[in-house]
Amino acid sequence: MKLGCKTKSIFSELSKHLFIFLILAMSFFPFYVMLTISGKTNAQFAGNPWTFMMPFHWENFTVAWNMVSGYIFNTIFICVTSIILTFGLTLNAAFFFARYRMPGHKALWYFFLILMLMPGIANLIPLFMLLKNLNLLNTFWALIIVDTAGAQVVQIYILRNFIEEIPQDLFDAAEVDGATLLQQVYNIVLPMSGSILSTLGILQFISIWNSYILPLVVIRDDNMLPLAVGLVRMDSEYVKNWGQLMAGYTISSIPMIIIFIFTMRLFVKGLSSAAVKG
Amino acid sequence: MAKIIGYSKLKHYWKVYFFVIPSVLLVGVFSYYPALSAMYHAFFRWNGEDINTFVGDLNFRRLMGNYWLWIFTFALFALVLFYARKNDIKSNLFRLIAGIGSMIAGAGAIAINGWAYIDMTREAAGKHFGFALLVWGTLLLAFKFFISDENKNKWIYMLIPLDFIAAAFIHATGFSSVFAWMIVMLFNGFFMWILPYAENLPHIEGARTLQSFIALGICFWGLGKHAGGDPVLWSGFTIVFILVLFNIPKMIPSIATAVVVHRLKSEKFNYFYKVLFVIPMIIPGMVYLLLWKFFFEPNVGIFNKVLIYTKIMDVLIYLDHLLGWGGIFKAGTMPVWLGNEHLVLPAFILWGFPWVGVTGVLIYLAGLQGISTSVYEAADIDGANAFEKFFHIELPLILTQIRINMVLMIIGTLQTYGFILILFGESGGPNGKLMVPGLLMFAQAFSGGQAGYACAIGLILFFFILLLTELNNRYIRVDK
Repeated sequence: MKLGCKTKSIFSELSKHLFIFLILAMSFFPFYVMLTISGKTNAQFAGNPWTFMMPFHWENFTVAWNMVSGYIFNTIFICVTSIILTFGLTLNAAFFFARYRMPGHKALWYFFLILMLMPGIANLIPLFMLLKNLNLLNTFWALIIVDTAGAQVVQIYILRNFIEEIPQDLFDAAEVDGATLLQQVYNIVLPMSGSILSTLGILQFISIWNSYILPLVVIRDDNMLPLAVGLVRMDSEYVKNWGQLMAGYTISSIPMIIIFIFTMRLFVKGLSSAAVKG
Repeated sequence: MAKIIGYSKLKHYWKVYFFVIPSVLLVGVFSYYPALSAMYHAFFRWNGEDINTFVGDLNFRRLMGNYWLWIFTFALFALVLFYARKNDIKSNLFRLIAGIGSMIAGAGAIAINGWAYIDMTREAAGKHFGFALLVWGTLLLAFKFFISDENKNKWIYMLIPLDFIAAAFIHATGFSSVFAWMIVMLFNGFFMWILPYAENLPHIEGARTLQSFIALGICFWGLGKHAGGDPVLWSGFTIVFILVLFNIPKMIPSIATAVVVHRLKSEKFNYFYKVLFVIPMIIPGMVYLLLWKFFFEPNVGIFNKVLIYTKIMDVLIYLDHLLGWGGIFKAGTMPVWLGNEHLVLPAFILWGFPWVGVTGVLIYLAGLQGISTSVYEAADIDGANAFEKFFHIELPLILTQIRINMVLMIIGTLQTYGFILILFGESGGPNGKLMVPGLLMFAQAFSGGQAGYACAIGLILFFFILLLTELNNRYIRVDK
């Protein structure tokens, strides 16, 4: 653009910003609506659906908190347990694939890799029956275990690449010092893989936060429902107080936003890299 | 590097296996076992509990109808693929003869089979023959486009008969002929003329790949309709097909956004917008879905209010009057978007406007990162305008990502049913309009008590997805 005149360049930059702004505005419109309605009573909403309005009814949030807080804590429990379990397993498995070529190494690797290609759609019914036979229906453990199993393949794949890049000298030195293999994993690999683990964790967090079908069929008790199913159940009640519903939606978005604020850089990087692998 | 351990050293190192055994067990029990169990139970009448009797292929016969048609089509599919891929057969004429020969042979085989084994009248067998010819003609064409490397431009004109076939299929499945032609023309216009222009004709593959996928889709779908299987399943595939068709243009906003964000001069803004675009992703998907559901509520929802506010509603009412839609839009009443069987599909297509997918934007941005500013400066010196820059610089670079995204989108659309389940429950919307295959599977298993049948549906879906994945891996190259 060095050759073009300066005003033209500014104009073209401005038009780009305008375009992005328009797209962003339309993308954020639903959330704007959510926020505005969350402070209204039904009567206020009928009068003016578009803008923020005084008085802002904070009590909607109190009511909504009582409705959704249980669901949120359930989901957080499932997420955290499942992520910790997953890391415990995948770090070791990835270490195995990255550092050793045992007999049967290839076969085991393909055992995992094939799962990446297999569509999981036919699995639901037998999985449900399996959980039933294991007496896991209506427990958090059903969800935790299935989520953990589902996250194995991708994480092993990514962590393997990561661990392969750690210099061998570190492991050799540890071995000379008499470290066992487990100690190698937890004293060398774990401290180094902080950033990649948090990206993987965030991705898993998002997927569990949004999962719907398995919890729907597995969990029966209302007080054990995870967030997604709980929100739908809240929505399907007959008399709707939109303000409270929207306040509930807002509250259920907050935990993710908090995580986002603390890990913004990782978040963007992680999503980009996951997207590239997609 | 990794330590290589032979069998002789295994005595000292066997403990290493314990690092992987827990994962293997977990995956084996919770991923492999269900998949294998689904395959096994697809051949049973099974309600998940006490009833479990072997019924052979009954489930599949109920779903797919006369599946000689299917078997032969797939055999021919492989054959056509084989002929088309043989690069050492240089003569196009030979390929054509071989292709047409195999087509006629296959169609004949089906007709004879139908006549001899399934108590078909001769007329019906004749019809089958004609239909099979049509199907295989389509397939052959599809694969011509898929594979042939020479005479790229010439083959485009061969698409014209393909369009007739496509329109005929769409029409045959119960849509008005106008709608059928609309869809076909839309896609022809866009993908055959705009995309090739976009690529400036060095690689028309993109367009050809797309056309082939569409042709393939139409082909199997017509087959499904024709063979006399479970009509609900195949009308479900119709819905999936329509959703896929409309999902393709929905990819455009993401691409445009990514390109514009990429073209911004300031790195800071670039990052800033990236962060902003991530935010919709962290809002739970369920919240987003329920918000949109609320938008479509007839009386309180925002969507109708926006339509009235922007006067689009008046246009729709006028159009209704003009084209005789039967009073879907009437002055003074609010259209019930999610409760009217004619409106539910349009509502679904409009869902999520402006369709900017975060992962999509980030994928394209990652693809665009490779372009250095000097390329743009050179283009500026040559006097290229913004669109020329897009078609000549940016599009070729993200074409791979677009293709991958497209295939992933098709696979994803084939599998989605959670969305519809949330909105309408197991009934699949007003009048079962949105009963997609996945939902049918779910409903059959959890309220129909036909888990075996549901497993068979799952397997059919599984098969289609596997086929798509395979085509994706084989023909859509990731060249970076």
